[in-house]
Amino acid sequence: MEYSKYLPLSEASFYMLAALTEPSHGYAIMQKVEAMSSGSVTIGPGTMYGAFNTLEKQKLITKVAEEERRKIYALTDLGRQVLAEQVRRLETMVQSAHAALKTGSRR
Amino acid sequence: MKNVWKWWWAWQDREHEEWLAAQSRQGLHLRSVGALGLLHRFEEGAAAENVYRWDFKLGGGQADYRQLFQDAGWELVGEAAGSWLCWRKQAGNGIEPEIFTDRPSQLAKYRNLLLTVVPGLLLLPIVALDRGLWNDMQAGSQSAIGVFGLCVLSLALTSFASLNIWRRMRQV
Repeated sequence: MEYSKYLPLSEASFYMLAALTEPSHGYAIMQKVEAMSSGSVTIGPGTMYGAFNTLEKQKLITKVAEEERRKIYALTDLGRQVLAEQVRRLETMVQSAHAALKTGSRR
Repeated sequence: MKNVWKWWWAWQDREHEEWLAAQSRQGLHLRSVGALGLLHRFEEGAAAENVYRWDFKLGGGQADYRQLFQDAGWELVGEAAGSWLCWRKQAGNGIEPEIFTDRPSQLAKYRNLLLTVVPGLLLLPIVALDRGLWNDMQAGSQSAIGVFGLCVLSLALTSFASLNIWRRMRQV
């Protein structure tokens, strides 16, 4: 499977996919993301609404229900794979950078 | 209630938001807008730190769009031209809330604006034709000049608007 066309995920998309491992609506995702990132990541409603449309078009998320004008989305299998691949790449990057910072000489 | 007329262009949205925030600090809080967003109806009250943000949503945005903004604590305080929505949220603790929290989504707003404004302005002569203006002009002796003038006007407006929106995008 070729994931390159979906990656790298933006910070907003990354956290949204992570939050959508359980079906949620937009505001619940905002709260989850704030909690997950210890308050360091805030996703504005305009950014989130645009990301919903993009991620749905890419079939990384899907609408599972609608309650009182709130759309409830869930991660698709593809979305889960893309998120896992992003995590794998980030891990590689973090490990490489840690190693490089340890060995590199300071100036 | 206080009515204030103020001219602003679509690409001056940031400046206009700042102006609205300054009014709020003086106790004038936007209640609604009219006349394509140029007429501002303010409600008088206590001074407050408010953040105003304009979003461009062709057709005014669907119910789930508005619900998401309201859930996030934003209040819709103005709608202009059926596609501009003015959202307000209280600022506090030195935090300025934003409706767009990354660059791509900020740019997308102006891209959508551009994709609406450019075809709209370019189609102006055709709309005029449809309204019968064209026939009136053709009946007169200066018909060719009139038609030509209309096309030039439409092209000039399109260039003026797209150049300014493009410049605005470069500041994002």
